[in-house]
Amino acid sequence: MGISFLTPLFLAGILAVAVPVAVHLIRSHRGTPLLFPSAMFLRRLPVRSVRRRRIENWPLLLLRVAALTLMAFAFARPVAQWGPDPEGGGGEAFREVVVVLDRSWSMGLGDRWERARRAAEEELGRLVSPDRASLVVFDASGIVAVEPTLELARLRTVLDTLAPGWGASRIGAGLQAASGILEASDRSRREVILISDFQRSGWDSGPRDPVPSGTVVTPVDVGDGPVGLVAVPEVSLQHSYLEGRQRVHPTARVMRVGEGTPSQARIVLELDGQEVESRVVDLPAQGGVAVPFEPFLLPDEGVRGLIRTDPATPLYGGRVVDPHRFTFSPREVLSVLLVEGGGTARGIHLERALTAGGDAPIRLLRRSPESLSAADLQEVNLVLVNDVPLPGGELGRVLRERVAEGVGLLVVAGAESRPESWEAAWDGFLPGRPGSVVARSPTQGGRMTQVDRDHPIFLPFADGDGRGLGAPRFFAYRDFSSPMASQGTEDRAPVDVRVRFDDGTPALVEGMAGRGRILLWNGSWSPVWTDLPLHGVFVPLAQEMTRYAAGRRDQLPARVVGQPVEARTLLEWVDPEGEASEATGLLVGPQGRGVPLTLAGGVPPVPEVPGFYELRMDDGGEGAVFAVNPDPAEMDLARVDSEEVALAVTSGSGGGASDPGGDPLVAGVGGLGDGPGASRAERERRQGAWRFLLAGVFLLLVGETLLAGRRTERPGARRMVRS
Amino acid sequence: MTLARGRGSASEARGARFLDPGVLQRIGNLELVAQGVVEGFLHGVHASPHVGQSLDFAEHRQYVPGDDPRRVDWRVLARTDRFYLKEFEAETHANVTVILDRSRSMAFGSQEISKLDYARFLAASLAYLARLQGDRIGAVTFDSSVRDFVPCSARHLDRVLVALDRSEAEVAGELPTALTAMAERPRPRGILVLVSDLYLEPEELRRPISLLRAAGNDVLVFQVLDPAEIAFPYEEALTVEDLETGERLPITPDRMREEYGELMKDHVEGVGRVLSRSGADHVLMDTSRPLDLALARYLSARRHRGRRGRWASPS
Repeated sequence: MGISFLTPLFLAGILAVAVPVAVHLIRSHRGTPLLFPSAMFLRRLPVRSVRRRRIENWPLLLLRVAALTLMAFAFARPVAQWGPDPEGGGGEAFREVVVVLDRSWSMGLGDRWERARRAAEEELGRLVSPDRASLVVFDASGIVAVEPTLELARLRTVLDTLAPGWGASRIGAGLQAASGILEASDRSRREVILISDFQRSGWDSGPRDPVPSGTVVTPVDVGDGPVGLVAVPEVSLQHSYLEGRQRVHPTARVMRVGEGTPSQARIVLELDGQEVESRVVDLPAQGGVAVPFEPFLLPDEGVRGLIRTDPATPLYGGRVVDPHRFTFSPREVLSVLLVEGGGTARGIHLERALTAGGDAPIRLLRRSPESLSAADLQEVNLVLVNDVPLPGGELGRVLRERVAEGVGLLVVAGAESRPESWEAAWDGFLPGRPGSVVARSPTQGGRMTQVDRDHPIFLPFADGDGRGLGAPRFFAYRDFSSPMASQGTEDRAPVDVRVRFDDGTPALVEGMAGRGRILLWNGSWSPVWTDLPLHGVFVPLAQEMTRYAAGRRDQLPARVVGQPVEARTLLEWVDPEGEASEATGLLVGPQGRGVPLTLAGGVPPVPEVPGFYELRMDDGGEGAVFAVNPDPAEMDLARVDSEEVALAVTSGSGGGASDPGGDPLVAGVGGLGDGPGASRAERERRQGAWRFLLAGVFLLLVGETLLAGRRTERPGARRMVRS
Repeated sequence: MTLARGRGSASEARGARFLDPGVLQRIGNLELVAQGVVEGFLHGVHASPHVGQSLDFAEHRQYVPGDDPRRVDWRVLARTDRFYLKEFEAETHANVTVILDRSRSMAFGSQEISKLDYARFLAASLAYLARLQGDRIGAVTFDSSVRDFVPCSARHLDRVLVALDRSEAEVAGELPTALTAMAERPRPRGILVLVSDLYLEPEELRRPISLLRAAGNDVLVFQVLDPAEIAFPYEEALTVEDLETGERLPITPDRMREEYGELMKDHVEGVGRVLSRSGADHVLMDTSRPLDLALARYLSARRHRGRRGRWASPS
């Protein structure tokens, strides 16, 4: 058993034992003086101080010295330690402390980062050897910067090298990383020091997993204080055609947040490094304003652009607000052969959706099953079979050959598609065959769930709640089964389910046939089976599915810092009809560093700084450029209560009832004294020696009073004056 | 006889009780204290309360024109053919003034009673006794100067007691100055009873006492001291604060006691010597001792000086 002290500086108080000794030896005659009628005789006598330099009352002196010594020990807060643990592991008495530090973009505002660093230093300073500590930093993801260690100096060194990044805050990600450390720890006293500016966007998004049971979460909020900024969080790029050339209409959303920011700002549009237009706009006190710019003709090679505030540094909050970057490439006109039942209005929604946007880049060729010919299949990029049976016979064979050559096939298996009548040749070609009709509640219907949001089709829906993908109801669709689902055969790529209905039935299935891409929508796009065509999401969804199945690349969307770059998405965008599985490239960031990109696997690279990223293909082919911007969520400076966060991650951690009299920020405390959940009780018990020491001091002082009183009461030692 | 003895025993017991300073301290009322002390004392000594008020012959003096012829001693005239007048003690009622030192040092007390209380009881008892004898009584209290003055009168016992009762030891004393001021103030000669702890150099007493004596007064000095002032019983090292001056001195009593005792003894003897040379009586009173000693000394001195005729004709 060993003893350490929480506040060892108080041990210096032991020096105070010199006081009673000095009093005893030197100044013992100075107390309450004896009032005497006259000192006229005493004045004539020589003062003999020899006697004062001797200890006259050893018990009294020892009592006083002991009382002072015990008092110094009590204030030094001794901590009992059981079981010496030179390696710092396995000891139950010591702490496992994880400092979780937010390094998102907003932490660079004002003095937040400096305060956060100081707070971390202070927390490290409170550790008592051999407490073990580790450091987790997080923005959109959590990283263990320093594994659990006893060397606090190493932690401090790493801490000094850190700086706020460009990523968005995801508090849950940081806590997840911390939980990994705590779950692996063999120590019962587990603590998380969560240092953040507690942006609400960082709490609302991301995981909210509870920390391991018994963990004490101490939030340190550095987000208070005035900060503000003017930023361009979003740019919308619409396009049109003028005399056969594509025009781009950029519109920026400019946002003003916080107090003290300017009410007017100059917004600048730059294209390929040249300032082409600027606008001075009045900014509302809070919120954003749309700033439209004049359309510009798109060069054949595409454009890199950005929209920024001028000056680029808002000078408030001490952080440069990065401009919003974008890229735009010319769109190719897509030729789509729409095969659907003639004479009905069933496909009118689809037709309008595909041709929406005026000078749309989709050129639609409409045919009925009866009028369809092999010649129609020669000059198209995509064949869209909407709610009619797939062609059989010769026509079917030609279609399969065209698909194998690279023409896309989108099949909508509605009520009139009659999949049971499809010839067997389609079975090995399609990713599966739709089955019988599944009827859902005519009022509630089913919903789309399990959307593969990283898929190119759904990238435009990646923000927020999927921009309404959950809203459409589906009253009927088809059962579906495919032995090839999620597994490949020797000559087929695996079949992927991109969307499912809420009962688990696949809604959108993707497969490949040769170089052609096949999408199978396992239901109808007519208002009979679903109200999807009546929702706003239908137009972009239909267009995205059409473009994707046709293998035509769209604009490579801008990404945000911290968003992983899926190699497949990028490589397929570069070479949609090529052998993407064999393509490799080098992803070069704005700082000039490159990361190999292959479809074979590996951890997808995560952009950490904003800028333009360029994919250079190893085979010298055409690459791609995309923009990476700061996460606009970071520019929302609304904050969440730090205690609310701590409570949320500690209260749900499976421990059942929480400790009614204990720390509310202790996760899953089942009761005092019960295993790991009793860390607070253990801590109190180990640090509770000061109470006994103070009780000892009290007893010693009582003894001292009695002893000193006895001496005062001795005959002849009376000190009394009557008046 | 038995009854008388019994009553006498009861009175004695009561008197003895009232003579104990500790008991007196608890009575509080100064008149009751004085009455109890004196009556207890008188019963104890079986003496008449009218001692001094008698027709005892005092002296003869030659007739001078204007004297009352009825007072001529005709027997002496028959034998000697000369005119002499016969004088008696009863005709020599004295002016008795008690002088109380109420300086700060008188506040000290290591026993149940402080020196000031003891001195007040003593002065009150003497005044009461003097009044019983028919003397005119007055009082003076002083510290650095005279605080209360009650002129001598046969009816001033109450005023004397009030003056004594309200005396508080609050200011440092200046005995020579106060006594000199009294001596320089014209007043009827008489008996002056000084009650003080006499913390001053003995020689400083010489002049004021001599002045009082020269004014025709008889001076009886009671030096009141606490037992602790005489024995100095303290042991542990301590700091002493002078009640008069506030001066603080660190001392080691056990090492100083003997020398202190010598100094105190020399002081008391020196005071007695100076007073004796000045024609004053000196009585050392210990606050632990009953007051009867003081009364006895007073009466003894009065009788002695009365027989010598000193009350009426000071030298």
